Amino acid sequence: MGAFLWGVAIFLLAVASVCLYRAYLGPTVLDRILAVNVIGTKTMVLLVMLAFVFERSLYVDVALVYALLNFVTTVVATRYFETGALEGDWQ
Amino acid sequence: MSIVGTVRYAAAAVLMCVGAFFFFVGTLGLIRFPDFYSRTHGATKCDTVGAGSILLGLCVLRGLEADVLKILAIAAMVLLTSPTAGHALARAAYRTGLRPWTHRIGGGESDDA
Amino acid sequence: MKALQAGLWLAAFWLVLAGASGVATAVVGLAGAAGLAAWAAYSLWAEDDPPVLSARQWIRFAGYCVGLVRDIVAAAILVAEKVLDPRMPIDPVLVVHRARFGREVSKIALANSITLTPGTLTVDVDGDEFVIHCLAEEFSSEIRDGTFERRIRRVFEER
Repeated sequence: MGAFLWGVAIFLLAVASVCLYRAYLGPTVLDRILAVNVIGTKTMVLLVMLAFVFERSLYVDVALVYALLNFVTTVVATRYFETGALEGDWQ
Repeated sequence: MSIVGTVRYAAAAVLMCVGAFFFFVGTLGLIRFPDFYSRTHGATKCDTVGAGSILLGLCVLRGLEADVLKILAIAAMVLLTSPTAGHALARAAYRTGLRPWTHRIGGGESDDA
Repeated sequence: MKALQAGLWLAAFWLVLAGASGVATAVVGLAGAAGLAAWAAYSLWAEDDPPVLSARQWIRFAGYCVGLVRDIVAAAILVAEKVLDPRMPIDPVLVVHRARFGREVSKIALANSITLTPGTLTVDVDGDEFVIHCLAEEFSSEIRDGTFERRIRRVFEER
């Protein structure tokens, strides 16, 4: 099972690097933010898989925080792009 | 190895393969779709299913332990946050005046707003 | 009431995180949850109403969640079909749909379920107006004829 987990993890890593191409290409800022968000989701899953490969359950906590942080990063970056400010009402 | 163990391993492997497939499809959509809104479609849906499937596979692999609750919490969080993030992105695009690509308007030029 | 509800969720989250790691951890976590909930109820959420669901609504909500998971798998398969088809048969349109709800939580639920169902993505919500991006026009039929709205109404609006 360990080899299989390694295989899936390496596949995810390869797929995540393909997403980088979209982050490089753009053409809008939002495309880049979307690409980074997608990479973040993959990284989060990768972290949980690493917790199994290395038998360290600590990585699961890291993945939990990463999932939250990924969401907050996306929303804050998007909001900054939309309104040009981080304070005030969302509407 | 017992029969139950084999079945569990096989189920976990199938779930993880399905998840990897959907991640791959989501990424392909991110590269291939013609405009930002369609890309968001691919990214939110395929990533939610891909992450959920792989995490579920890992839960099946682990059996009943404290970690499983944490992994399920992550899966629930992805199910909740992924569409919200997609909506935030699409809304920012809409409000800053990015026009969606259609066959009628013609391809390509509407992309670089 | 607000503080109690928030506190219970926070305490449950802490117990999931901490696992079975001793009485001291649990006590510290529960105290932290209570303090955070009290603070949030009186400053952060002073003006907002938490979405309170009755027991019957919770049951219907559980059924709705199961349906949502089924829908999202169907949605991902549909996107996969579109992506893997070399001709890429998409014809995106923007659709505006009006839905009048009594509570904020119904709006959030409708927006999220539109995003998670095949071929549709909520782009903007302004008052009662939902702007929806569809990968092709036929996917908007279920939203246009109000199937979705009725489902949400049954879960969150009826007592």
